[in-house]
Amino acid sequence: MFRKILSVSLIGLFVGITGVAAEEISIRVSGWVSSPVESEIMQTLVDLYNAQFAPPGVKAVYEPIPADYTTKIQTMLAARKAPDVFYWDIFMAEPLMRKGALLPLDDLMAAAGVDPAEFVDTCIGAFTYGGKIYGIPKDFNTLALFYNKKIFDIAGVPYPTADWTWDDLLAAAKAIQAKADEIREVVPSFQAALCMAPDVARWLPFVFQNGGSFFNADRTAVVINSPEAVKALEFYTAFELVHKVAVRPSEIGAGWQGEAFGKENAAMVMEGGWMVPFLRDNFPDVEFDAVELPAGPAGKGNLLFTVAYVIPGYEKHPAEAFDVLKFLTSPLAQMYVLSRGFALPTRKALGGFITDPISRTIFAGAAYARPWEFGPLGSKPIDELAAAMEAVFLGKKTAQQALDDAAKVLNERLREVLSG
Amino acid sequence: MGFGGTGKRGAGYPAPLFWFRRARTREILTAYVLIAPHMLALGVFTFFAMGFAFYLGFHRYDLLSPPTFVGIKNFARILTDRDFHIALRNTLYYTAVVVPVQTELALFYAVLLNRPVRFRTFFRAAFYAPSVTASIVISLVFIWLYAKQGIFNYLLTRLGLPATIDWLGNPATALPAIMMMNIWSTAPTFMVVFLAALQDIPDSLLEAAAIDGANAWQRFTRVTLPLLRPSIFFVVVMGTIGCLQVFDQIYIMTRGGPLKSTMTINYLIYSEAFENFRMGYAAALSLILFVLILLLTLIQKRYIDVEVQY
Repeated sequence: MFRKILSVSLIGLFVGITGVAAEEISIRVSGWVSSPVESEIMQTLVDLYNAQFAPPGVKAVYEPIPADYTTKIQTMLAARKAPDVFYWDIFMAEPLMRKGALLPLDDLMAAAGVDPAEFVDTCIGAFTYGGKIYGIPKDFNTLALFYNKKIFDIAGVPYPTADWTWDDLLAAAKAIQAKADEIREVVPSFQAALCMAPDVARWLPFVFQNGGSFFNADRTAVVINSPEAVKALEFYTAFELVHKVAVRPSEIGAGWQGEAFGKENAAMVMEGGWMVPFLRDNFPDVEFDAVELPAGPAGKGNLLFTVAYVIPGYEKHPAEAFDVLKFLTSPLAQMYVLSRGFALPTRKALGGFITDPISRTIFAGAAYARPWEFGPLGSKPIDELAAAMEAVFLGKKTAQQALDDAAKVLNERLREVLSG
Repeated sequence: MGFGGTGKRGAGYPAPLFWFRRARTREILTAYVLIAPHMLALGVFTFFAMGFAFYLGFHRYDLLSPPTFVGIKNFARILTDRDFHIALRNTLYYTAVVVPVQTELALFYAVLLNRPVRFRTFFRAAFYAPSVTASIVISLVFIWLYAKQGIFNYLLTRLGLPATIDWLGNPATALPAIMMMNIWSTAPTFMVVFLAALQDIPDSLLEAAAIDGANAWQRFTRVTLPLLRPSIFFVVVMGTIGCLQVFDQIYIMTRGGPLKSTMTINYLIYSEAFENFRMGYAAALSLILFVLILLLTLIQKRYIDVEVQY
């Protein structure tokens, strides 16, 4: 008898729980975690949404994805188990947008009174495909020339300025390298004036500054082996190979350029706004500042890194998911993120609230930056061009050969992708 | 013996025919029930996966849109794919070096530890330790050992050599570095196989050979080695399959770089499937790897697995 009562009540409890759960719509929000601060900020925002803004019966849940983010989301999308709102990086945007894997947001934006013109044009443009908007950018970054004040002072070289050109950069690097012994007396870890990695995301701005580009005008061919791009790669690699004023991070046991800069192995690196919290947390004693990247023969050039919130194409609760997305990109949420010194807001109106000088430099770069994306090729060009750069650094190929080979592979892949 | 009919036969009653049939059926049923969980897992994760890979090999599939049939296009593309040529060359080079060296090293370890040396149990356990350590852990440790300021370079400088080798960062040394690590960590696994086989060799045969005047080397090459033939076949085949499928160490340590010098077929399959999302192409590559493994195993069977009897 007792068992009967118990089982009946258990069934009742079970039905009760699932009954309640069925009424509540939970909106899963996912992103990668670049640092503990990021997950803390996201959790705070989600909690705030649930407490203050969530309509009745809707609850946002934060589910961070710690590793293999792109792979995980793509397989989850295939299995229709993807989060309702998630981060998506600009360079993987077009492969998803062209497959209809993301939800077009235009109607939802219009209904909710969100005007695309409120956002930085390049950012929102990068998530626009076939005239439709698929993502609302949450933040962005560009590159700047970071320099170590102490090393410049010792070498007696004037600090970089925003109107520097390629020649100024090379001249300053040579002047610093000439004083290497004097610098090492004070900064024993000093290795070279510059730290430059075989990284496409650092070299591509030089291509733009020299008038080159990755795609041709109608994006039907890869033209990364153009004379402008070849010249840019020759210039980029010459710092180490010809002038001996640069080192690669791998040569000096650093994981990336930022680490080499923090350890004061190099006086200058080209990095993004992520350097500020990184240096503050790991190398608080380094005195540094940053200016816009030097201009090349064809003027200024920069890369725009951005991440948007997107919604899967098959979303069952589009209105509820968009409500969460709208909150996460609202002026309130972006001001909070900015106040934590974490990322730059994508809302034009908030540009005036950026007070930190380095953040203002990064923000200024967006005016002429081109998005960090390779259209339908996704991440393939990153690997292929990194291998090409490595070959040049190791003296296995000339810049022309390396880029010809890479362009051939990439054009084949582009034809394959565009054919169906 | 199934679960049914207990006692009846023990009690000495003659088993009627119908009882026998029922018991047999039950026994078979029981057997199926017992193997069912494993068969289910095997069916879903092995046989279904194999069949699906075969299906995908002739399709184009990016996970997001449904697969479209492309015939043998994937295979045709593989033939001209520069990355595949690099991966094939790297994999064969890797296998050609690692299999012989690790087999010989395993045999050497086994012969050594089959002797009544002091602390034999300790040595056996110590030698075997790398084999039971997760390859991920070993890879992470070796990244530090191979670092430019790592222990290997330190030891080389102590020997008076100018050692600033960037082991994993230099295309000339990255693959050999991974080979050395894998030989070190896999040889003990096969040592155990040889140890077991060595203990199966009857002492009488070796004594007989000794009485006939064979010295130690002759006893080893003429008696022990031929009797180890089945084990050698097993070790070479398993070693070859393992080498052709090398992946996790590369994923952790070099991700196929620098300059694709450590790109193996399995790493290429991973990168096409989960970085470029060309599932069909990756499936076609895996079918090619399957054929390669099958062919090599058949060749080895033809030349090594010859029955030896005394």
